Amino acid sequence: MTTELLVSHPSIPFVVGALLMWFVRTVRLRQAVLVAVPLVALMQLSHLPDTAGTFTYLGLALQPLRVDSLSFLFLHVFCIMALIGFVYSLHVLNPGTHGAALLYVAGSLGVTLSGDYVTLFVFWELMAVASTFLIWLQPTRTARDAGLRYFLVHSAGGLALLCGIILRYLETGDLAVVQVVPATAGLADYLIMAGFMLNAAVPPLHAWLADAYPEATITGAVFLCAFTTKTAVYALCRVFPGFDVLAVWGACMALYGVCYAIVENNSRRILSYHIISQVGYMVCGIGIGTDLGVSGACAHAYAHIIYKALLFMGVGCVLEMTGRQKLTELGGLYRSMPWALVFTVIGGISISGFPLTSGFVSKSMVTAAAAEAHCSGILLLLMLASVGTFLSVGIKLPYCIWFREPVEKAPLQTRQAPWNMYLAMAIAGFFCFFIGCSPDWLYRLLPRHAAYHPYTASHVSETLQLLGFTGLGFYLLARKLAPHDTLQLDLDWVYRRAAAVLQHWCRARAQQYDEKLGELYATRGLHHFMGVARRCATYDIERIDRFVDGIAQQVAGCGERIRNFHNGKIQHYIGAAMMLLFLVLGIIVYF
Amino acid sequence: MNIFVRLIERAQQRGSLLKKLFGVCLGGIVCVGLTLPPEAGHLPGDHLPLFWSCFGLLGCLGLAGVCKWIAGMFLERDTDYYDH
Repeated sequence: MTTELLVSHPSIPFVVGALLMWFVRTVRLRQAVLVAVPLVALMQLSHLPDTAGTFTYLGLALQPLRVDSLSFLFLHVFCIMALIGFVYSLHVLNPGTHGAALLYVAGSLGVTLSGDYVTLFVFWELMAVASTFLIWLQPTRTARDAGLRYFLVHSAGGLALLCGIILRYLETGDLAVVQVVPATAGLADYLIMAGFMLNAAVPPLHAWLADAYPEATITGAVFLCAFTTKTAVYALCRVFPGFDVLAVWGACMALYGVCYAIVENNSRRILSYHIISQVGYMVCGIGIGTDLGVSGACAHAYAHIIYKALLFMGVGCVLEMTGRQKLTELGGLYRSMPWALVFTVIGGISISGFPLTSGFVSKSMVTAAAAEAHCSGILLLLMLASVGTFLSVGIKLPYCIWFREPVEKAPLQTRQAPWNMYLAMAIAGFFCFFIGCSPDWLYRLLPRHAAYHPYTASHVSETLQLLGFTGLGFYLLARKLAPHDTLQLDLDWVYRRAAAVLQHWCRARAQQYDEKLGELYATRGLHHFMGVARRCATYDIERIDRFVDGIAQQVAGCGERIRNFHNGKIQHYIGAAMMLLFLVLGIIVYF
Repeated sequence: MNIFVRLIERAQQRGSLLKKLFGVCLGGIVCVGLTLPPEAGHLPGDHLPLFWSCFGLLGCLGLAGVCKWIAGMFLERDTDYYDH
């Protein structure tokens, strides 16, 4: 079974690839490994067994490889995304970035395949650690700080998950990752859900995402936007479908992210808030829990991974070339970076759900599920989020980066982007249109059968009305929507301020205690300590030194006697040897 | 790609033509919306023709206005806010 596991588990090539990154020094060879690893994993997917069996470790029944249609869908898109991401990062020379990304993907695939909570937790934490390095590898102070906050928040989430797993094991004696029925859910299940929700960036556990992703390395952000939240979506889909609270939370989340994206100035932070928003659709579909809802969540996860990565790649390309990511510092780039514009617009219309793009055939499944379940409030929030999505990413983002005249009159210094960046964006752009034009290809991969046809005349008309008139709204408000170079407070304010206050309090208290201790020492302690020191010195001189000096004198005398014994007369040596011999023989005979 | 760049520059020079083109597109969308029967209603009023046009426009204006107001009132800070 171990051999079968090693051969068939798609995480293994990524772990091996990560090890090779440390040993292989040739850039070309490293690039070959980066492309080969996801291709090998994709080939493995076509030969995956349903399970590699169960084995016992420390008395726990573990199932590290379990495949069904749900896990296969996520594995498939994760491997495709890994291929796109590594093509995008081929020009990066730092093997650490690639190593961290490879381990990160391995963790994500491991979570998707795990059939028990122990395996899931191990891979979950591997993801957390590896992804932190994708932030820390950006050599800035803000990245270091954001990475530390990211790691601490994810450690807290991992702790909640671990507590839930232990409680569940104590209650049921079972560690299998299986669906939980809402009526029977207890504290253990809700702790596990909290752990999953933190990684899915469900408010109020979301602030880490918009805090950390904009600070990550350019290629690191492309990986980050695809794996952490979507692995959590997979986990929620696996364990908690049909929880009403998720439906409401997801709908609020969809609108929450969009609202921040509308007023944000940092391009990668806008996209980060849109991850929260789009994951909201998925969480909502999972919460609705019908076949259409769960299928919609899965389809949207698949489409979202690719178009969100495309958007991050487009904006990352701008950052790579100009060194800037604030909208107020950009503008007029259509002359120097037209291809990046084209691909970002493809991502923008996909996320907005334009007909013929992937967002149209996936997002509408979730809204249709809400309508089918007669959840009018949820439907209203989701449709409003669609309007905000097109407003902020579909129009505002490309307009401010590429079309609007730059605020600074000096032209931006741009370099030519590496060819591999454009190739990766072209692959992702192809998938956006391919899924949009051939939705049945995606629907066949879905875990639950749901009869849904996105291309009805009324649906296309409604979508065009919604998006067209949102465009009119932007035209009317273009000046008012101009970004400002400010920072928007979010719920990370709570722990960032709390940490600052705690640090200030500790520092003030520590200083206070230090001063008091110094005063006490000077007034009262010093005299006593001096007395003790004098007694110690006397004892040292009178006792210890005398004892040590005595031993030294004895040793010196003994050495002198031994030296005198060596007088060079052979008869004395023979006599002494004979006496010693007789002494030994005597002892032997006696005993 | 120079053709693409020239196309954008030409469109920028002829802004009024672009506006007219956008207006024609919106008019076409409205005409199609009026002729097609709306789907079964799930929101109050969505059985009316052009409901989603009004929803898009008013939603966009409302969302942008509310978000800007909330951000200006409560959320906006200097970029070095956390450094102090």
